[in-house]
Amino acid sequence: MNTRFILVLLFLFLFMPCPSQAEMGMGISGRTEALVIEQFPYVYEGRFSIHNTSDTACLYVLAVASPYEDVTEWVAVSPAAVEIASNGYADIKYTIAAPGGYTGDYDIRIIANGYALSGEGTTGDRPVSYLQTSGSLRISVNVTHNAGDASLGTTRPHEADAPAAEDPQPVDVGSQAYLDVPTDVSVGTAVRLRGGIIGHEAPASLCIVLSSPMGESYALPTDYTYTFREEGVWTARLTLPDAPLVERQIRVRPVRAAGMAGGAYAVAGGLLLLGFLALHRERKKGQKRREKSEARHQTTLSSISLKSKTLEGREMPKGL
Amino acid sequence: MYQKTRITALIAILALLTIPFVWADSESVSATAGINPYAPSFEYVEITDTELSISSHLDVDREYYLHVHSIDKNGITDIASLVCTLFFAGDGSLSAGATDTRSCYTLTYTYANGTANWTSAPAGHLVEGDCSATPDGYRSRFIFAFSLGKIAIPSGDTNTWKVSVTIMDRSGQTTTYADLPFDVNDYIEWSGVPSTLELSSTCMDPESPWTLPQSQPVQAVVTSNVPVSVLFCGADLMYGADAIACETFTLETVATPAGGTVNTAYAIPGAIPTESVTLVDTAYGTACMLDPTLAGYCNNSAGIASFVIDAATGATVPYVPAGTYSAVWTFTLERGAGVTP
Repeated sequence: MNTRFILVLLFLFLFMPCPSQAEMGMGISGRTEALVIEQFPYVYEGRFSIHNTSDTACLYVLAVASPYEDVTEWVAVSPAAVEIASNGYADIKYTIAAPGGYTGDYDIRIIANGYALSGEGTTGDRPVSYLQTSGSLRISVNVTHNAGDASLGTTRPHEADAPAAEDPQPVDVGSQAYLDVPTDVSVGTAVRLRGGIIGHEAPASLCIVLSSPMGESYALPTDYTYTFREEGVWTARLTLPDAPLVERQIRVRPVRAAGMAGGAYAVAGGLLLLGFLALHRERKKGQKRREKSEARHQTTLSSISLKSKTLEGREMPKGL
Repeated sequence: MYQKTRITALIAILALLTIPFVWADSESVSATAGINPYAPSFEYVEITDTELSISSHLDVDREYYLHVHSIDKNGITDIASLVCTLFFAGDGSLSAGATDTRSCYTLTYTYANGTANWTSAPAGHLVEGDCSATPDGYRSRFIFAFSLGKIAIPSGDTNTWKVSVTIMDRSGQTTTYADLPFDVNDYIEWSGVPSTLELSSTCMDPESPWTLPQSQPVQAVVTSNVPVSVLFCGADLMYGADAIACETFTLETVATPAGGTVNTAYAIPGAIPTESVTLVDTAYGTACMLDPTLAGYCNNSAGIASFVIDAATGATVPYVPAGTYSAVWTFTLERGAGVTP
C-alpha cells in the first residue's frame, strides 16, 4: 500500500506547475574590419549576421560604441532592432559615413543586445537580475595623417567629446532597459506596468506601447496601472520613438480560467489525493470491519466448540 | 590500234567501277566507326545563399548553395560523379588536405543504377533535402546545399577558402574546375545563458536583512572559430527610488576555456563591476592560431565558460522596502586579440 501511495505522489509531482526559464544565446558572424581612411569624405558599407541560439524568440537591439561621439555618429546600423525566431538568422547592414575627422586610430564596436521575448515578466517580491547576452563586432578605423590634416586636424583637442569612461559604453539606452509586466492575468484585473532605464532617469519620450489581440495600440506612461478587458495575447513594448527596446507578451485569460491556469494541476492533484486517501480509509475501515467480524465469528465458533466440549465432557443423565 | 587502246581503257574504267560492287559482298564488309572521347565540362560554378544571391563571404553554420552547371554530350545520366572540395587555402597557396570540420569539406554526388546519392565528409554538412540534379539537354544543373561547421577557419583579410570541383562521366573521363575563391566569416556563439537570475533571500520577510542561501551559477557554452573575450557589467537593483547596490553580490569566473586567461580579480569572488570588465581574455587564442595544415590542432566546439554569482560569502543586503527589485546584468562576447589561423 505504501508503494502505491508513493507512486501516486510522484505522479502528482509530475503535474505540478513548475516555473520555466528561457535560455538566452546568440551568435555573431561577420568580419573584424580594419579600415584606413586616406581621404574625407569616406563611405564604407558592411554587413554581419546575428544567429539566435536561444530556445525562444528574441529581440536584438543594435547599439554603436566608440571612444568619441563624433566617431560614433559616423556609423548607421540597419535595422536598429530585429526580432529573430529561435535558431533563426538576421542580416544587419552598417554604413560608416565619415564627412571629416581627426587623425588617429579608433575602435568602433557594433553591439547587439538580446532580450528574450517570452521570458518571465514578473518575479514577485524578489530581487532579480535580467541577464542579457550581447555580442559585439569590432571595426578599427585608422585616419591617416594626410586625411586628418586635410580635414579637422592631426591632433584631437581635449574637449567635451573625449570619452567619459576608459571603456567605451553603448550610447544606446537599450542595454539598460527593463519592462516589468505580468505574463498571465485575468480579464478585468488592474495590473501595474513599469518600464525604464536601470540607473538612469527615463527619457521623456520613453513609453510603453500596449497592443491588444485585436491589433489596437495604446501608448502609456512608463509607470501605469492598466485594466485588461480583452482576452488573448497582448504585447507590451518599452519603446523610444525610433526603436523598440524591450518587448514582452501578456496572456489575458477569462476570470475562471486565470485562477485555474497556474494551479489547475495542483488542485486536480489535490482532489485525486483526497479521493485516494478517502478510498484508502474506506478500505482500511472495510478491512477492520472484516477483521472484527472474523474475530467475532472465531469467538462464536470457539464458544460453540467450548460448549460442545463441555457437553461432551458432561456425563449424560441417566435415563436419557 | 588507236581504237583498241580506247576499248582497253574503257574496259579498265568499267572494271574499276565494278570491282567495289563485287567486293561489297555482305559477308566480307568490315565497317569501323571511331568516336573520339568527349569529356564533360563546366559552364560555371558559384555559391549563393538560399535566396539565390551570390555569396562570397560565408557565415558558418548557415545553409548555402553550391551551383555546378556542367555540359556533357550524353546528358546528365552519363555523369557518374561530382566531387566538390571546399578548403582553406591560406594565402592561396595551400591545397586541400584530409577532410575535417575546421579546414576541408567534400560534397559528393554519385549516380549509379538509376540512383543519385549525396554525401559530405565530414558527415552532416549537406542538406540533402535541398540538393538537386536537374537535366537540361546537354547541360546538367547540380545544387549542393551545404553548411560549414561553426569552427571552420575564418579567412580574415589575408587568407581565402577555395572550391574545386571534379566531374567524371561513366567512361571515366574527368574534368576539374579549380579554385573558386570565397571567404569565411568570424563566428562567436554564446548559448545556454538563463534569461533571469533570482537573487531572493531564504528569509521570506522582505523587511529583514537577508543573504542568498547559495551561489547562483551561470553557465554557458562558447563556440567560436576565433579567439574570444568575455566581458561583464552589472547595475544596481532598483525598485522605484530604492536600490540594492550591485556590489552587494559577487562574481567568480570558475572556468578558463582553452588558451585564455581569467581576469585575476574574478578568479576569486570579486564585486560586481558597474562598468564593462573583461572576465576572460582571448579564450581559444592559442588553439585558433594553430596552423590547420599541421596535425594536432584543437576542436573547440565543446568549450565551456562558467560563472558564479556568489553572494554567500558574507554579503548581507540591508533593510529595503518590499518590492520587485530588478537590474540588467550584461555578458558581452567579442573577438579576442590574435590572428587566425
